[in-house]
Amino acid sequence: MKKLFLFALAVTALFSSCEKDPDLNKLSSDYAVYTNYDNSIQFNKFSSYYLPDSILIAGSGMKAQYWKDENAQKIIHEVVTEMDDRGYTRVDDKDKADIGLQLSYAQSTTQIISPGYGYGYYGWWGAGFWGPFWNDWYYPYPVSYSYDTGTFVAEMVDLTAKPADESKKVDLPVIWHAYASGLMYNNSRIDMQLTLRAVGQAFEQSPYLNILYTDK
Amino acid sequence: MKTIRYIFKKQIILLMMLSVFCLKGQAQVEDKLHFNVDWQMNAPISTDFADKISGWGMNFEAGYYVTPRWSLGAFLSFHTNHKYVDRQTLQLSPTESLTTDQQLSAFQLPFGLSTSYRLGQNDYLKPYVGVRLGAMYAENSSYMTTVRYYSNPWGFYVSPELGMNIYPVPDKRLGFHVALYYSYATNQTDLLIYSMNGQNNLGFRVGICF
Repeated sequence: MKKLFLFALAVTALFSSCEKDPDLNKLSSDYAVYTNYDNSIQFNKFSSYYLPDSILIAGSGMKAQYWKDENAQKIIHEVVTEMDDRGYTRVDDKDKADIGLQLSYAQSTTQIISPGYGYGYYGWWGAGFWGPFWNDWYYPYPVSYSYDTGTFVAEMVDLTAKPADESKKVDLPVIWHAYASGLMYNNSRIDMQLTLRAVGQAFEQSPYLNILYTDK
Repeated sequence: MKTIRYIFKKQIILLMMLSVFCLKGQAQVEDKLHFNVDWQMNAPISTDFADKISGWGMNFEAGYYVTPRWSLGAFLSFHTNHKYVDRQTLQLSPTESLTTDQQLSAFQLPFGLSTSYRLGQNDYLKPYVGVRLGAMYAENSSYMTTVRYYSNPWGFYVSPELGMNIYPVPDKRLGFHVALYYSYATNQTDLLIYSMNGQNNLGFRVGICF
């Protein structure tokens, strides 16, 4: 019986290689855009946000590196435009911001597994960037994914969740995140165009990111 | 001496008779064994997952006629169907959204036992009805530009079939085979926004029999 089972498995493995792959050239060049959020949060209670003037490049080593050139500024400007259109105001002082936005770009495949808590990757945004009272940061909802090379990531953190007693550190919640991935064309103009379109799509499919949103 | 000669003679005759029986038995086994190798066209039905009809599949079957009309055997076939889904926003959960286009692919590989019953006694055309029972391995995938999400469930498989063996030269073993089939498998898949509780197919096969 065992031999028969092994034979059946071997035959299955042999013939499963006969699967006909679909024509992937039919697929659009636009990036796939994924978003998720903490549905216990009312995003219309926030009014101000802080957005750094650089994009973190993940996978460039243990030490974080930042992308600040003209292309990076175009992406940041697109995020600012989308946030402003939704009624939020950008502030220069992160202590006065209700929410923080951190943008990252995965230079190599980056594995992140977080079943609610924990964060297993060095060279990413540190919670300490947002203030001394943040111990670590976490997703209030389960996530488990891998960012492929060339993935653009945007994360929103709730800066109003800081402790009353600032000497006690607490974890910083990521209340919204988006990522966009697709084929890289090694052409900065096309890649930039696709990234900017993906940023727009991330906000379009997140209608709750609006100070006038009243669906709850 | 006579006795010894008699025993030898008797043994030789017995051996000759046995060998004749053996040869006859071998010939009978060969006559009763039959094989089909087919190309097949398959259309998944009652699903919106990879339901585009396609000809990317084959069928292999071996049978043995336990009576002049009734055959028992084994089969294995495989097939792939695809479907392109235009760019859209998929609501993966109450909080998760994914905007992308997709190439959906449904691969199925059923195998198991088959039985058939011949209808009529024409030397050129030998129609039959049959049924197949077995297991099915499936691999249902959603291809995007850089990732593939997939599910590979197993299930039970049943498939009634109506077919015909066509022998242009009745004395020869080689002929043509055509068949129409319906199949149902219990494989369950939950993939992105797609949920399948069982897989139904309609199709036909064209091939050779020998």
